[in-house]
Amino acid sequence: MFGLKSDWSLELPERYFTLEDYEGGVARWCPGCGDLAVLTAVQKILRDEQQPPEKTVCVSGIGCSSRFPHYMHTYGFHGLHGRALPVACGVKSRRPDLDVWVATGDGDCCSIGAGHWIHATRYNMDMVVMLFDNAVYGLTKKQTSPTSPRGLKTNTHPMGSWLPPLDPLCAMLGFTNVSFVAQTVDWNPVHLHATLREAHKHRGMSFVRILQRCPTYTAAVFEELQRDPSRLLLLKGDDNVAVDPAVMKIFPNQAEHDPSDIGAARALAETGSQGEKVPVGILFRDASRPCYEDFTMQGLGISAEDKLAGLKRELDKFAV
Amino acid sequence: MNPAALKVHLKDLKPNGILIVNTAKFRPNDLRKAHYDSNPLEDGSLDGLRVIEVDLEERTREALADSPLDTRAKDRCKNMFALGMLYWLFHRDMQPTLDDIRKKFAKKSEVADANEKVLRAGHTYADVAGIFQTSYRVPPATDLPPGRYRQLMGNQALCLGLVVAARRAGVQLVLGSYPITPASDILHQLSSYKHHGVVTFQAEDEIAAVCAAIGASYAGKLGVTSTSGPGLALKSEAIGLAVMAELPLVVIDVQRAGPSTGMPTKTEQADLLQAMFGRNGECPVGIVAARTPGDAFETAYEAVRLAIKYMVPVIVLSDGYIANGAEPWRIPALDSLREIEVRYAAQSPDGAPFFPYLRDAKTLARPWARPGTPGLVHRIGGLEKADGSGNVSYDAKNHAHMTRMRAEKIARMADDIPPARPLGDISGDVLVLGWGGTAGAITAATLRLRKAGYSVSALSLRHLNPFPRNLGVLLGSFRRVIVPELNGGQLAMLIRSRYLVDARPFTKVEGQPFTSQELEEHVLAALEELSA
Repeated sequence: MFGLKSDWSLELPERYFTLEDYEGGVARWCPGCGDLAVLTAVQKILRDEQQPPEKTVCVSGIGCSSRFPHYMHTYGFHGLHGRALPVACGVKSRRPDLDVWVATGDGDCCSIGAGHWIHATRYNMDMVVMLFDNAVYGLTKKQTSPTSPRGLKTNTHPMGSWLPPLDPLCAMLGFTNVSFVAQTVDWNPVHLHATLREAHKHRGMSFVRILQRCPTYTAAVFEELQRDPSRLLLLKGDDNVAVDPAVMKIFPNQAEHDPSDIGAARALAETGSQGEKVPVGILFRDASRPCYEDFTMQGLGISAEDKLAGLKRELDKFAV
Repeated sequence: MNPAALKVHLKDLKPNGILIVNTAKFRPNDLRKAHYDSNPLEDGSLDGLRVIEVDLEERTREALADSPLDTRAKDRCKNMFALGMLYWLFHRDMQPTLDDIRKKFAKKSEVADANEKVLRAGHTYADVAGIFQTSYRVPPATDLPPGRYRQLMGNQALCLGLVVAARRAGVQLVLGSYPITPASDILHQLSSYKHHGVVTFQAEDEIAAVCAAIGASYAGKLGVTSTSGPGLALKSEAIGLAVMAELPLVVIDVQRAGPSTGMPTKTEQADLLQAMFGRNGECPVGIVAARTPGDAFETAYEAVRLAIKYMVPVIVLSDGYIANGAEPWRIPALDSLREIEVRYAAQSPDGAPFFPYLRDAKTLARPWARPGTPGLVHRIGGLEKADGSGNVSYDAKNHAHMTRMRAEKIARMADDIPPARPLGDISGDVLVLGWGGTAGAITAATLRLRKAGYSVSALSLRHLNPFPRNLGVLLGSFRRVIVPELNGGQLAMLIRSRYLVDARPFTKVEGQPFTSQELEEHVLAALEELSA
């Protein structure tokens, strides 16, 4: 069962964590908010993997979804709007022993923090980046976001948004050193859980775009996708997200996809960005992409005496 | 000097000063280019100076008559002729320069030969042509305390101060930075210090740089970020985050002339109020300023000490003048420096819940709890926290309390910093009050005035927030307080509002440091006004 590894049958672990061990404050998202499903999925994954709560750090920016760390009973840092990734990079780069999860929204990641998004992808630190994409600014009460679909009426575009929406998957698949890109939906907890679990297993920056319903402001945006699963395309295959056959049956459209094929991944993302055959599953994965912390931790194992001797040499440089 | 250089630097010469002029560059065309209507060598505008006219081009070509170099290459050696003359004038040993020439042109022996020849020719020329009426000897410095000395530039000193402080504290130094003039050298230098356990992160922008430093501090390391004025502006929101999260952070601002891009290579002290107030909300931080290149070492060390002890961001103000200026610096004994103690929070043995904002009774610092420590799981961030528990709180009374706490932490540092000790007497006619890089000029001017019998004292502040405890008393002990600054009067504004003292600003915003002479004249005028 969950978390019981075979060798533990001989030796009982000192600590066994239940779901409650990962539950922080009571979530104050709106009823029916897709964020709640993500929260549960992450707590389950940590419980399944028996990850000690103190080894996990949840980092977020600002927005509805960025309240995520407060609802997790782990270490958490709720930072600045757009700056979740730099803070997470600061933590992860110096503490590779920690399990870092980033909660960011479409405004936080794809608008004010877009510069960091490109570069964090290139640094490729080992962390899970969850993009809670509800296609609107929710916390600030309904303004157009970069991923808002054309025609969405918001307080900033009362006649309807007119720019074509930014597609985070297309963007990610164009960034240098991208190592993991997946998409899932909040309303299918099995697929959501399985996708995040794959992301967590991957070594490198695992980017998961979660299509996330906002019942308050964009109820209509994902309604059709939710009601009509034929608009989605389930990616399957040996290397893809594995879900229960009963769950797979929900998806009329399924396609074999090899996540090592970035060309095919880009084509899927491009088609999905048109609103038809929106792919769910792993689009791209390459575990061989270099991770930032591999380089920066090199050469740091110096003894205290050597450091002191080096320091004295440095101070004495050019001494008279 | 050619005409253009003469135009810019003439004002720096004292009356009766020596001016060496390269007559080869005073042809009508050269004068036109420098916008001279008449030849300053002939129109009397250089009266009162000791003008030495030398045709550097002609003399250099003469010296190199046998050299295989072409004329252009020969002309490039003419600065060595002037340098040779100066060596004679000051009786200095030419050997270090001769060695340097050999080293620099090791692969071009004919260039090395030419430079050496011209240098020696300049020296001989000054000797035999009798162009100078006198020559000078600068005795070796004898008033410096004994010890080992090295040459040190301001940016280097900051780096060493940080490294030594981190080492003393036993914490890893993590620099997040983005290239910007004139602070980039700090990133360069610390990048080469990996063998000291220093880690640098060249971030994608200024904001990411400070955020990564904050992330590192949260993770239990010492986060540092270095920048100049425009970068400090970009970092303001994140510095506020570190104030709210109550994490140690050292921010280095090597100031340059602003606003906006301004004059990146020119010096100014105009970021004091930005450092003091440039953030949203009531957002106090510690501020220290480096006064000389060597002083930057102790200033950086002090910033680390205060940041860790009080769990606050501390801004270090340096400037372009200090950054690239050098001075002989006495290497300190490592164990003579003040202690920096890091106390990470540990799990309570009885399993009592952890309070991330439970404060130290004396410093008001909250505990530094590293992720990965069992039992200390907590969430922090930019939202207002309830004191003690650290839970998000919108409670009115709590916000007022926390705002006071954040200010009080900074205020209490005043008990932990040395009192201000003026140069000269602790009371009198005039106190020249400066901060940061003006210290050299202020000291020189004050010493000269005191020697002439005037009642003048000087004080150059390192600690700008909080001020030293005794500053108010000192200010009240002088008939006149003059505040020279390379800005529009920022310290004067703080002093006036804080102490209700009629401090008189003396400001300069020309991208250039003060000369001791202009300070001396200004103070002298004030003294005359007081005695009238």
